[in-house]
Amino acid sequence: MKDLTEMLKGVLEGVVLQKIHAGETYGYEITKYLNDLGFGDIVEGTVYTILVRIEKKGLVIEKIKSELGLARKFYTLNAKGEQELKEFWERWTFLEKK
Amino acid sequence: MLKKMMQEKREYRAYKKRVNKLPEEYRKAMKAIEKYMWNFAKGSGMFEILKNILEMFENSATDGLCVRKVVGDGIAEFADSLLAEFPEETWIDKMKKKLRDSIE
Repeated sequence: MKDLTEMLKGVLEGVVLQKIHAGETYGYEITKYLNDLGFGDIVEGTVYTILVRIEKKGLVIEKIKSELGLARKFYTLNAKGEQELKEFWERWTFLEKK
Repeated sequence: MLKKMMQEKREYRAYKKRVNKLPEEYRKAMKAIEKYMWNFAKGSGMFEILKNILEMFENSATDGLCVRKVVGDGIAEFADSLLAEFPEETWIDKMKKKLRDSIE
């Protein structure tokens, strides 16, 4: 959907956390997931920035796997990440009730 | 000190080599981002950010994505959003702190 990204910019982080929560994943896979959900204008770069933020906040465990001589980062939520996701949904429910 | 300089130089050369191996549209974008981001750099820490972008570009190119699919319509926004994630690597952050400290 058009212009959805703009509205959801602050929420995207939670959605990305949700995807990582569902199982170990990497950037491109997350982008495709979001596109399939209907976030048509989300690009790899957007997801990359969110991942950088999540990483910096210390919410994920990263595992580097190399394929074709290239290093690709795979993400899993750690305890702090799971907690953050829980709080995200609490905030979401709070807003929904308003 | 000298050792560190030589190490940095070696790393920079390795980085350049990787940039040059990128498909042309990616190489162009990478060089442009590099040029843009150095303007805001406080020190060599910016290099780490650039290396990470390069890594993402390498992966995206391997995935067969065109560069537009990666940075979208706003390559400047992409660069800016990354700079926003690493304020400690920019001089503007130091200026902002000074400004904040100007009032009690």
